[in-house]
Amino acid sequence: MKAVFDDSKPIFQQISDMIANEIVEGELVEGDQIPSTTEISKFYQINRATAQKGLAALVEAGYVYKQRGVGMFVSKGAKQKLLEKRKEEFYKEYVKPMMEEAKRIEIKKVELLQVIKEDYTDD
Amino acid sequence: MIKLENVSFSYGNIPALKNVNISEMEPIIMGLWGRNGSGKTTFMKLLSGMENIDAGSINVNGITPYNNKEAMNNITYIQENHPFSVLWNVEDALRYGALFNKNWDIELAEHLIALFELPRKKKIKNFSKGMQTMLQIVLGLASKAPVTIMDEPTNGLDAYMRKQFYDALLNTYEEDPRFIILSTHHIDEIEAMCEKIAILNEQTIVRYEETEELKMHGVLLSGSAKSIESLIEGHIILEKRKLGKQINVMIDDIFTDEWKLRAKEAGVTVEKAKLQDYLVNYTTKKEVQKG
Repeated sequence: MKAVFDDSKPIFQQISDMIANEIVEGELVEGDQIPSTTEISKFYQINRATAQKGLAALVEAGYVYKQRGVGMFVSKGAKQKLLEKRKEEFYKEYVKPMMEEAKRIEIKKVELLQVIKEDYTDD
Repeated sequence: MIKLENVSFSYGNIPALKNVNISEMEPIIMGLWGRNGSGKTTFMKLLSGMENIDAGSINVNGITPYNNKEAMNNITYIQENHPFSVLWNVEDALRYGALFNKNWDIELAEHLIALFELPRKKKIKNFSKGMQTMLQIVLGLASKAPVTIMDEPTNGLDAYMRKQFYDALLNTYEEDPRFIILSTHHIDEIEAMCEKIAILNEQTIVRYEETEELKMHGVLLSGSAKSIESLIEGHIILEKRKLGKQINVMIDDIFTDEWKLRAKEAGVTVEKAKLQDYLVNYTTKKEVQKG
């Protein structure tokens, strides 16, 4: 859980992102109950509508499901779905800006590939 | 909960509110923002029935509040500087609360007094500003009125007191949802509490939107004058500042990914403006343009 929200994105989006992150990192697994609107509202001292909107986005995307009167739970296959989405965004959000910065500060292609080759491992 | 149609009000020849239209049917926590002199106090006085409208129609929780004995049972208005008697202590204030509020929740009042650590026997006039505000918060929340209006409820509160106020407000609202208006001229202090925010400017309500929507407004660009000029063509400029060849501008638009992309292509930095800064600029933009 984040400690506070910042101004970069709407708060409801930061709530969805935060829970999605926990699913990706395995902090929350299939069938786990996620925090309720009330819990989020009180914990972060924000209005209920915002908390609700954040959770509704997760339901809409199918990462969590609602059980009436009980709460919300992580859906089956949520992590896989999220990983696929993140991979799609990876190039645009990380690789492309990295290459642009590399160009700006005159890092040669071989140098860039070398850094990745040396530092990146599969585990 | 409230519905105002074409409401106007003047003090003598001086218009205090002109053609105000606003309607809210849900018991939400609503923020009310305006600069000094924008008409906030008059708006709250009309809602609570302390003044009568000159024109238009007003309905608050099903009643016309002015000169209506039902108003007291439906509406609580906590003014910024509550005129407590100089002789009163906290216990007197609680007795007053119990006497004048049909839904008075003595348990909540006692709980909040203890939570805020307000001395019960000390004269209120000797309280610090923050403590006086805390007591006003107690009276406002424990009134449990279907329509509760609190003027500048964070006035004089330090960071810790503010957190306590947020907790108390969200807890009692959760237990007992009711229509609560928080008025402020410093939106940062209440925006997280509010589902929607109404903006008063030049004697009328100019915006009434969901907080999250309102917060997306205001695009801040900074970079070389040359690259910025082409970006801002055709947009409403809320603020423009120069530092050497560098300029900073705030545009009245929604902060989108497209802006990030455009800014990047032009080699300028882009940020979302803070809501308070956006609102101040938004409500002064005419003066800025005259400049």
